Amino acid sequence: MKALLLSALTVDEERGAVVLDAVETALREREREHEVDVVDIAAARVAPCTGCGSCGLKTPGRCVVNDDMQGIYRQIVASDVLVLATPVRFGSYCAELKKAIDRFQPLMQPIYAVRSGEMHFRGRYDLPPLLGVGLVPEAAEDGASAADRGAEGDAFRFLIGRLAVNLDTPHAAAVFAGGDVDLARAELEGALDSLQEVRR
Amino acid sequence: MNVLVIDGSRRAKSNTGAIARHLQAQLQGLGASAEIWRVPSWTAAAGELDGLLERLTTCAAVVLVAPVYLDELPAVTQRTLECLHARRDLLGAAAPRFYGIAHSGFPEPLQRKAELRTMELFAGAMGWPWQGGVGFGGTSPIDGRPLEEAGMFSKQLRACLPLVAADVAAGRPLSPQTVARCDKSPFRIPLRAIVWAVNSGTRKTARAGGLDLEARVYAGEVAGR
Repeated sequence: MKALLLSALTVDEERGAVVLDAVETALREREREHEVDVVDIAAARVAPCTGCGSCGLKTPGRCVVNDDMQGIYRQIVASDVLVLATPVRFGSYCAELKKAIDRFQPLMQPIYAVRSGEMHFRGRYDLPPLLGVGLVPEAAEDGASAADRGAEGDAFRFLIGRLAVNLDTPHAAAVFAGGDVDLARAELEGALDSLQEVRR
Repeated sequence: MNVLVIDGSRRAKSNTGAIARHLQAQLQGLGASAEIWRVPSWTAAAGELDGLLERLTTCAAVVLVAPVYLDELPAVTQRTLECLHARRDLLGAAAPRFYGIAHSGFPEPLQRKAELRTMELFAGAMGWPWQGGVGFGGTSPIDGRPLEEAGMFSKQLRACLPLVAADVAAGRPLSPQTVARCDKSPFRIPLRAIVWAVNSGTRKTARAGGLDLEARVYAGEVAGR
């Protein structure tokens, strides 16, 4: 089994490293006989998607931008679990991770299908189950209240579910909300359990 | 009243730009002063935001218009919001009313829900009064043309943007009627018929060009393993 962890957690200089360590440790324990690849997406050479459409009808399935995403595409396709870890910004991924997610279009065909009663792109690969890991702002940080944290966490969970529908793959999400990493770690374990059930 | 319309797309000929310009004209027709500001590129210097910060201190309302990339704001637009939030102290007491418009080719409102929620949470984090957001589906065929030239493909937008402009110019939140009207699918035929029609055109183009639409370019060995 291979797990690919695309992490933008280093963007959060205060808590990012601690959370990244917790996520990585949980994955390595779970995948101890296998591989865990970690990509610091904030440090990777990834250009924003220009929406040129080449991956649809000019060079189907191939992104024409020659940067680190070329290798990351291969890693995603070859992995058994894809983990997206990010500081949560207004309920969404931080911009550094979103830059990579915007480039996911070549993983889909320029052909539509009806899925969950909605119009979506048809998958090009059998993509791995998706685990979203979000680090929401602390209460004292930026004036955020506990209610704000809850709203951001809920929005992030919803967003991961939506990405999974787009990618046509199962999903789970875990949110690190406060300073209690142990509590969040338990949530992470639960999310990994649910994905493991899917993989069986 | 000063209204700032933020064009949340970096594409040269974008539907977002077309929607922003149409809204600007509607607002001006109602006597409001409306200016469009486009999000800077990823590599733009931090100084490019200075102009935006200056405008935000004098405008009464902000309308963010943005496309939907995988259910969310494009990365460059998200980055602009993050930069604004990081520098919000420079805005002093300025708290413009904030509105959102999200649009995509997909007809279902659910596909725009996360992005509109992000806009709302951003407004909350900035301490700006959230005035509501609307979504428009089926916008792809507009292909960056002015809405007046896009015929039936822009009918829904042309009918609804005046309603949005009226609420913005009056300084009130978007009415439930406006939101419901905008969210209606512009298509009057079943979803599967739309999918069939679009796919037929795409497959015809691919056949003519000898393209393999199912090519699995990134399958196989990962370099360095």
